[in-house]
Amino acid sequence: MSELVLQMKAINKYFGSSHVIKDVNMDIPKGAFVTFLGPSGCGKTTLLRMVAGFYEPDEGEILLNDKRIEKLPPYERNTAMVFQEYALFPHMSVFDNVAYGLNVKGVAKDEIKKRVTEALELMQLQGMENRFPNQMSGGQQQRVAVARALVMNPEVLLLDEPLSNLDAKLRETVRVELRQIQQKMGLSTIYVTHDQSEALSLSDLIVVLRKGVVHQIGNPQQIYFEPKTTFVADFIGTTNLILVKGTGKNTVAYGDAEVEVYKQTDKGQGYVLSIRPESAALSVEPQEGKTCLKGEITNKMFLGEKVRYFINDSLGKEWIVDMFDPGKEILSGQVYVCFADKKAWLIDEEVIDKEE
Amino acid sequence: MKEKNIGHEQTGFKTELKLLLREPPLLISIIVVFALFGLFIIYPFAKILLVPTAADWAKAVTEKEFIEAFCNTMFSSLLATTTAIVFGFIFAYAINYTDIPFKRFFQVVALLPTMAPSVVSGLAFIMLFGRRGFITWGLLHLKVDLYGAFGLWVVQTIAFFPLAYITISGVLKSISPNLELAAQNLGARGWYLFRTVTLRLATPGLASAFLLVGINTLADFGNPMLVGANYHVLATEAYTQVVGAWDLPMGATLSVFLVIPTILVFFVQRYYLEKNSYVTVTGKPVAGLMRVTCGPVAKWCFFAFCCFICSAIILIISVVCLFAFTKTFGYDWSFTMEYFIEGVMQSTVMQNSWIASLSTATITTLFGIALAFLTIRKQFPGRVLMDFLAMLPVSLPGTFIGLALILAFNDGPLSLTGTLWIIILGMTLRQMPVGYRQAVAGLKQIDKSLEQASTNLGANSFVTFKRIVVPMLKNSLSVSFVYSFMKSMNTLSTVIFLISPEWNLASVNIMSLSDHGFLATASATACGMMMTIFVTFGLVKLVLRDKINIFDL
Repeated sequence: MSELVLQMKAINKYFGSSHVIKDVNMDIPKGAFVTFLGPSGCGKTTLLRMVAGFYEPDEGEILLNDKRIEKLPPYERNTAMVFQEYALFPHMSVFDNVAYGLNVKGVAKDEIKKRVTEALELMQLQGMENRFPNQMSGGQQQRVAVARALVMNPEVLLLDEPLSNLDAKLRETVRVELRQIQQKMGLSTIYVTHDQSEALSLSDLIVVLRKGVVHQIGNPQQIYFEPKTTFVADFIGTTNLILVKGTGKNTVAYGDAEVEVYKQTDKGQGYVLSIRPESAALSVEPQEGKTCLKGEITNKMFLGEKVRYFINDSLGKEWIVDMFDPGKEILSGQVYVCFADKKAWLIDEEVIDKEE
Repeated sequence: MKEKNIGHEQTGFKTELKLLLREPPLLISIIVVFALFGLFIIYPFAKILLVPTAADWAKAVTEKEFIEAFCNTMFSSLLATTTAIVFGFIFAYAINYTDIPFKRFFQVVALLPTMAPSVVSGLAFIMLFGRRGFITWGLLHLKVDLYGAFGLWVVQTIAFFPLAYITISGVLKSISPNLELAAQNLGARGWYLFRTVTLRLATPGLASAFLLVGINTLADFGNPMLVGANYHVLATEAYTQVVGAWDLPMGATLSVFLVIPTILVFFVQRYYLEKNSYVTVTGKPVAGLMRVTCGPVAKWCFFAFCCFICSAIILIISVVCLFAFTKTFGYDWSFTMEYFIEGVMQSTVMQNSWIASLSTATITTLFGIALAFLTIRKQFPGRVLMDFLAMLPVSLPGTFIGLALILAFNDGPLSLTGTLWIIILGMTLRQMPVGYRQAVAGLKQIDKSLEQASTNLGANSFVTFKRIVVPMLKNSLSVSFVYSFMKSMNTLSTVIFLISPEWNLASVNIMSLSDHGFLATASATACGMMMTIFVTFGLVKLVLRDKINIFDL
């Protein structure tokens, strides 16, 4: 296995009486781009700040390159961070902002000049050395903030929703650049976001959090296709969550239909199946080799590359099915919802989270 | 931003004028405001400049005693301001940047002196360290004379420490903790972090605080009178010229000299420091993050410092209370109401002060919001001038305002000398900038779209103002009401020339009683004053049903 840059062991954190981080464990391999993903209040920023040292965990250990750091003050860790509001020093020029951390370390003047220039070039900020933050656009300030962190050559780079203050177009470009730079430098990176498309497109590894609990750690494909909890399935993209019963065999029962799954199920036990809208199809006649359920189309939306159908099946459950490359013909009335059994993912969670 | 506005104004002058002519109520209110400003600001200040003759000017710059007074003033206020600012800064830093215990207690104690006239610290100094002072004479049997420059330095430092602390605390609070977190994240710590980030970001605000405290020490009248002894400063010298030698022109000349540095300071602050302020470009603070930037040793040093300052303040207040309610402080400790009855109950001064201050607070608050509404929400020619005139009195020493008013309204059709009106006028001039500034800050926070939404839903300008703007401004209005009431109760320099036998005020009485050695009665009056202020706060709270905490000012 690849070397680990960061390990968290049984981290717990309380703010007053509320338990905001609950028994979090994770291993982050060197050079990986890791995203902490979750809705607001899930604890992702709190975790990031613990790595930076702004909070101390109440229980547990944090290891950075095999050294315990959870008790170290922020200035004794090499974990440069890009803040959501950038936090550029308004009284310093771009050059001085980027050079700040190196100056603190007492790096030689020539060396500072060289490294700052490199970092600014990398972020395409040449010629802006003498500007002040308030003379720059949001996108430029953001680049300065990244340059200021990169120049420290951190053991792990921390990014706290760095794109949330940029407009949609710019966000896309900066996202691609960030990923390219990270891969070029082989920099271990932790990125905090609530935007699932950002997480899917950027990450090697995604950590999905909810209410201080890690729901799943996995690569984007695992998170998308093989969600471990209904929360993950529901939070990432759109899905159909179907309540089914175990049969005691390698199948689950939904009404009269039986769907084959990857493991043996307990008879009578409740399970959840997740079927993505693009994994199912509609047809007028039932299809061979697939599970097909009879239903009626209640609504539809034409979205250009696809048509999204809303279907009520005979058990009253509403399905969402996407048909791509639809042409001009749009279905209506009675149809069959068909899906291949291997496209239906059995969510194997011990307790289905019922607090909402 | 500012340049853009001005440019816009020049090109749009005609359109603005046209718009104005289309709205007669607006036009009338603007004319009224300018007429009031002309009569009560420009006229008196022009008058005070015209009264002295060439000979007076010549005498003021050549005669040795005046030059000495000028130098003394500069020296003593520079010294006192510096120490007050340093103390205020350390205190504010301890409150905002460390996790020392008893913070809340320290905050409250530090603001207690603002409830009493600044001359109370001079009074306490006499009682403790004077020629017959409790500590120097009573306990240590020393025959020392601490009056003069040294005593003045100590007394003014204590008297103006709360102002320095409040102002600097505001400055430190406006620095986004994110920036300090970012610096820590990049490896900065302790002194380096403080020097490169915190101090640099606070510098413009600190300079403003320095100037503000500086104006107050320059204009301070009561303390130099009580403990200055032979150390003459301009404010007392002007008073002696007017009241002692009955030489009004000379008094006017001297007070003009007092204004020169403060006006300079005003312009520096207004046109240089405000432009170079960084506070607006920082992001919103992170909730739940405490910025603790110092180690344990530094923390306990800060704690010790806060204890030291607070015990000094508590000592002052308690010695004043003890003096007021014991027969003979230091010898006969039995309780007595004698002085309190003499100084507060049997005298009309407290009542007079209360009436004048309450009227002043009402006028400044209402006038402040009306002014702010004009300058912030309306476009008209002369807007910048109106803003300037409304803020101008903040830079004028009270003695100067008082003198200008008696010179201007001594006779003629508007003869106000000796009436309650001239007292209220003086207090109002002094406090107007506070009410105005509060209202401006409040109005700027209310997004214009809220008012537009109200009009869009069918409310006219008046209804919008009443139902949307005023309720949203309520907090900042009650702050400015309470503040100008308190300041008016305590002011001494503004009213020293304006009082008459018929209309004497409590703050003046405290000063003259202590000057004549009636320390116990003076202390009783000071206690009565603190009580009056507290009771009035309570009443205001009941009436407005707000949650304003004066210690959060």
